[in-house]
Amino acid sequence: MGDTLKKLTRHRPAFAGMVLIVLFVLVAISAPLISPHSPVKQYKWYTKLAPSMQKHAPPVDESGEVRVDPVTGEPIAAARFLLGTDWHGRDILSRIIYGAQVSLLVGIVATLIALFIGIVVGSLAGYFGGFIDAALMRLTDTFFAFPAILLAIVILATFRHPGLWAIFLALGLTGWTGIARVIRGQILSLREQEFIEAARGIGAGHLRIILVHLIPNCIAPIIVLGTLAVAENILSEAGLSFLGLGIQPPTPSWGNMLAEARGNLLDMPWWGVFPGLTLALTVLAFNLYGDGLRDVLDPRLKIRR
Amino acid sequence: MCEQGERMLYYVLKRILQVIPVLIGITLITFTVIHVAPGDPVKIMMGQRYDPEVAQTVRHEMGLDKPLVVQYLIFLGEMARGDLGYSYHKRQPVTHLLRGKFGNTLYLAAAAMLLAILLGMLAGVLASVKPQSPVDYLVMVLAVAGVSIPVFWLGLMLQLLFGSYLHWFPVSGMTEYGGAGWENFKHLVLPAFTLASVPAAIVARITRSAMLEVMGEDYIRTARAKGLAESVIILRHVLKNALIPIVTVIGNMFALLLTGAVLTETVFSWPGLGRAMVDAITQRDFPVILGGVTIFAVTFVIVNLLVDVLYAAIDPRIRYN
Repeated sequence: MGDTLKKLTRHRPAFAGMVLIVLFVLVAISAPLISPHSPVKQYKWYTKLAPSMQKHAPPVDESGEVRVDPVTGEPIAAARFLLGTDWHGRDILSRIIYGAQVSLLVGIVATLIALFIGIVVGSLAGYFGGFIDAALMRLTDTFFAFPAILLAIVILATFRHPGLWAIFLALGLTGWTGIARVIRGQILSLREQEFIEAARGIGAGHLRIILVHLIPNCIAPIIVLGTLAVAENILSEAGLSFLGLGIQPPTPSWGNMLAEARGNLLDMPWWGVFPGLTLALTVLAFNLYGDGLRDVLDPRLKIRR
Repeated sequence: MCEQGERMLYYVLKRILQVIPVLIGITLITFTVIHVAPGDPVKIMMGQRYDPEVAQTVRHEMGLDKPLVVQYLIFLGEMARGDLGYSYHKRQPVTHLLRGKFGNTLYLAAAAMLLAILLGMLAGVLASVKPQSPVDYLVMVLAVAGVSIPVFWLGLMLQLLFGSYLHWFPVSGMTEYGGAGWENFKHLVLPAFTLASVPAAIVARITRSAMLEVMGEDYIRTARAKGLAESVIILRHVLKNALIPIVTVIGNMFALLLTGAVLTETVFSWPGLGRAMVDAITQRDFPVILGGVTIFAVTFVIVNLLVDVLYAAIDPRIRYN
């Protein structure tokens, strides 16, 4: 284990990915602490501002007095918006920071669901073989034959108000096919080995052999596929939210920010550039780390994407 | 020779028969999911003029009051005859409605695929010729970036840069009616590049690794020892033998390409099947959803079949069993 870690830190792309992932997780967790503004507050007097390091001076009336906030009755304060504001006067940086929470959650939970289904299907098919294998693999083919995003959309359509859970399910239920295939292949070759025969000889049952002897031996591909699946799920959530089917505004997600920015790119390019850039970097980080893990843990795993 | 041809025919027939369970599976899943979905299609169709009595009649006419199993069997029977039913919204046969859209999607997907294969293989070969060189490094960086950059964001950025700022290409849509070859091509460029980004990156990676693997083989050393020109070795000996994994990946990429097409079509307002399906799902237009799913699935299976047949053509060692 320590050896693996050492190899990973020496693998430069993987190391870069790891640093970015840590940063991303820290940002998501500490969003309320580090975000300069509320992600949903609309600063009506500071709309459509370009990115700037400077503080924006508050608006003044005819006599030069600072205007008063109609809600609080206080004079409007000067404010800084590093990455600018959107159409509604919301701080883009704060929305990106809070959007990281959505991406992190979807990335983890949807991946866990997909791993669970993929491991169950793959290990049952590989271990029992025969009819069970044929049936489960036909099922996998069926799901595989389907552009994942369409199936996810169909699943999302079953929810009246698609929230986070709907997205977890939609992505988890569509993302397991590749995992199932790899696990099946691994188990097929493992089950013929002597230690399995030995376990069987001692009297271990099917469940025990699968859980205690086979699956732990598949941990390398599981970790690699899981890491790459996080990247995939973060991308898919953004895509669904971009289509208007995922996270609904005003809750910020990088995908729905891009959907909102889409019609205003010419006037406010920063609105679309920064969320997209953050999204690309995050996905890049998981891909780099996943590829590095594969190089280190299991060089024989085929390039799937 | 004759025996081999017979074997090939048998293999193709067997593969075509294998499509049937997959097709039934896909339509069954879709059918179940859309029927448990909330939202009554009749209510959505009638909108403000909703009248329970009329709705009942309409429901009866459309067969929506029959048990789900019966509805599904009717759907299967019609599908077998090439009839995909009537759209609730557009009031025309689904086959008629989707034919043109499917053509547009195939057009875009084929252009993107071609671009991806050309760019990807070129980049992969260049990278593999000098491993660990700056060119190799650049290609690998571009390849990992290609799979990481969201398709729809790339599309938006290309629109902004090449459409809005530089005015090189139109921002969206397909050719207006009457537009001839050049106009048509200009509309295709940005969406095709956008859609090609992910597959090109994948092809580049697999080409590079497959080339590197072949280069280690003995017969390549023999070719070098014979004094063959490096270009001949790379193209005739290495690339030709590296084709199998490349073709496999290209075949598997088709579903991925269709997924990308949904987003690309949305960004570029491309009148394709992906966009039509997203609309149909939000409108609860069941026949269009089922029809689109069926078309996607059949296409996918046919492409995979073609790939498998292609293997046999490239590599005579592969036996169809």
